[in-house]
Amino acid sequence: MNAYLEERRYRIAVWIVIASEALLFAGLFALYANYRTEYPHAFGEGVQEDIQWMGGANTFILLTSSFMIAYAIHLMRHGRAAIASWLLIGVIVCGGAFLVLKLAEWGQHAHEGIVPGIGYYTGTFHGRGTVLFFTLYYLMTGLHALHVIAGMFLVTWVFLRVRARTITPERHMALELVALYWHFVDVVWVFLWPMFYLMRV
Amino acid sequence: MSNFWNEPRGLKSWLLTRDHKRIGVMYLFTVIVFLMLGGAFALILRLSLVEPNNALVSAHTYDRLFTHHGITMVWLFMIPSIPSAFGNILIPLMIGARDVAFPRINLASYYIFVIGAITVLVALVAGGVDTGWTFYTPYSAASATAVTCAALGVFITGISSILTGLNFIATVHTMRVSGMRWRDLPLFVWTIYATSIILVLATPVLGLALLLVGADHAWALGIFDPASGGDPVLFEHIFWFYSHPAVYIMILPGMGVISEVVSTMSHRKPAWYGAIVFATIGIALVGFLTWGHHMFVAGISTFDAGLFGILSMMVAIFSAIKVFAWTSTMYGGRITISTPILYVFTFIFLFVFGGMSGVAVATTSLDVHWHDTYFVVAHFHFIMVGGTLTAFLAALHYWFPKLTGKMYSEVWAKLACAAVALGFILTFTPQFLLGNAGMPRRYATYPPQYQWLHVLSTAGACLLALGMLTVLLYLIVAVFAGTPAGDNPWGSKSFEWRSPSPPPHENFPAPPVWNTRTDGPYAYEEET
Repeated sequence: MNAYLEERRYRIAVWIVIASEALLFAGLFALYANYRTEYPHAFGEGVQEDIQWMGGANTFILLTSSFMIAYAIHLMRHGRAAIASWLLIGVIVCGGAFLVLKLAEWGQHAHEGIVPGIGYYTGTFHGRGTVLFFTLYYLMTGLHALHVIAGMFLVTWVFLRVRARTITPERHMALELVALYWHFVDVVWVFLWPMFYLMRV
Repeated sequence: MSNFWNEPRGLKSWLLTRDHKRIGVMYLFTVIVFLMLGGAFALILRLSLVEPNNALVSAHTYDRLFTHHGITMVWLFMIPSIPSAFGNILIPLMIGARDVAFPRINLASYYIFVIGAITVLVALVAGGVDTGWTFYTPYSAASATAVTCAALGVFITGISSILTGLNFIATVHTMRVSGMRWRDLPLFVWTIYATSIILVLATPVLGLALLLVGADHAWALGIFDPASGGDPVLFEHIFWFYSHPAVYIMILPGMGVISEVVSTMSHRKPAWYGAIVFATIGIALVGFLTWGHHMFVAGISTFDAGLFGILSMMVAIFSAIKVFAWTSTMYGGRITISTPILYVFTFIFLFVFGGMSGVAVATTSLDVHWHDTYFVVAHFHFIMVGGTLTAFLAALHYWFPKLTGKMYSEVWAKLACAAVALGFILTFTPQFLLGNAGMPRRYATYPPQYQWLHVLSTAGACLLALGMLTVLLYLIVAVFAGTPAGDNPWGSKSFEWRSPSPPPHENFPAPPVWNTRTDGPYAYEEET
């Protein structure tokens, strides 16, 4: 089989995975849209409860990481593998920072008694729909965090391969495909950010 | 002679194989086991319905039986039956490839399927599920049965589906023998390709729906619970967004099998190749937009219901294109009357009647009367189960010599085909009448005036079971004592028959060569 088809089949596979994942999130987005329409007040209140600066900081962190991985590909194409690998470290650090902030926010909510399941404390909230908001909040940010973790493993794998020189300026498809996935994880967050931190009313 | 069955040797070489034919064969055995299990559940249900007051099993057991009948047949038999078993065996052969694009992912998908199936069986052993195969909320969140375990099992089989679909799409895109264009693909490959698109796009949504139900059941998240403001109908939307396209996952590969068998047995190229491809892709795409017809009485607006009804009827147009194409291929052809073509006739009969009753239930005004009655049960068994099962049996008989190099007994095969066809029609025709007379689905007992129809239906089910067991027996005999079939017993032009039967480890002893004009899958000499 020629190299073109070899590369093409991996590309197709990653795009299919992304399409599949997009549909996975689409179900949750549909739930959010429906319930937000039904309970606009409760959802607005829920958004105010989320810690805005953490959401903003996380957006900044992920966008930075996406820039770094894109720049890593650019450098790789120009034969500067060593600097590219340092940028990959930066991507992993960003992913870690994102998760730390996310955990801190979950911890804060849990501290206030907003825990999924039977133990929801919704005393300070008004009206129906609050439970739905927080269930969706935990589900969607949780599922997204799992994707960040998966992405960090993939970036680490690519980093090790760059260091081992099995990803080279001549053959760096794996780096491009992992970057594609990382951008996808980033894009999902770009949608979650307004849904859980910005749309206050 | 060395072929994929005996080379390499040993159990380990089978369990860790990356050969698409071996993986396909393992899928084939696995789905046949689940076909028998699901069939056994159905038989117990039918036997208990002989008496109006159901002396055989308790009402609760009855609920669990029909639930597991549905789960087993839908997710453990019909979804993987033709795509994962025959698709795996045939796609690389049909396009002249050594294997699928990702052989290791292919093996992984098989084991993931097995793990999912075992999880479902664990749920069965742990007392079973009584929600119906659709896991409708809010009951599924409250039911005291093993909902979470079963939902998790189905979710895991979904991962296997996605990986299989991914593999087939990448294979068709990149592994075709040099020179083979898209318009040269056998129609079976087209249908598997269309099915794979549904698999990768719809399955994640089902996975999500079932995870939410499982989580709801386990931890009371309340996402579909009216008590916390949740909307149970929303679950139905998300569930059917997958589960309606899923019926096309079941029927499209079946249609592909029918196209192959019709062409080979009529010794002609298929009429309207382009139209069949168009209809195949059309069904796959429009199939995503019809899910709402499951909810005509669940409180969706009249406008939505009308729209979903019209979109659903469009599927009938695509299906009709195919039926006309098959019949015009056969019309005037020199048809070899063999067992596979008899199953094709059965398929077309069931498909036409099932399809027409489908247009009827897509009509909102009529569906209000038929919803949740035996009419719907009869409709989807005719079209979805009848279609998949007869196409599966057609495939099994048509490619049996390809797989084993042996031929089964035609006499027994034709007798069994008659039993399956008559048994199937006898089982479900009375159910149309029952439903129209008002008999609701999923009830363990019924008023005595329905009894004679139920007895007829049960008699049909017994005949069907007898036919299926006969198939199993003579095929097992044929594996060991069948007459040698030769490499291409049907005289097919399709690529998969150009390698020896059974094929060697990497399919083609010499790299296959493709010349569009002479080597097309349907390059039959036109008789004038």
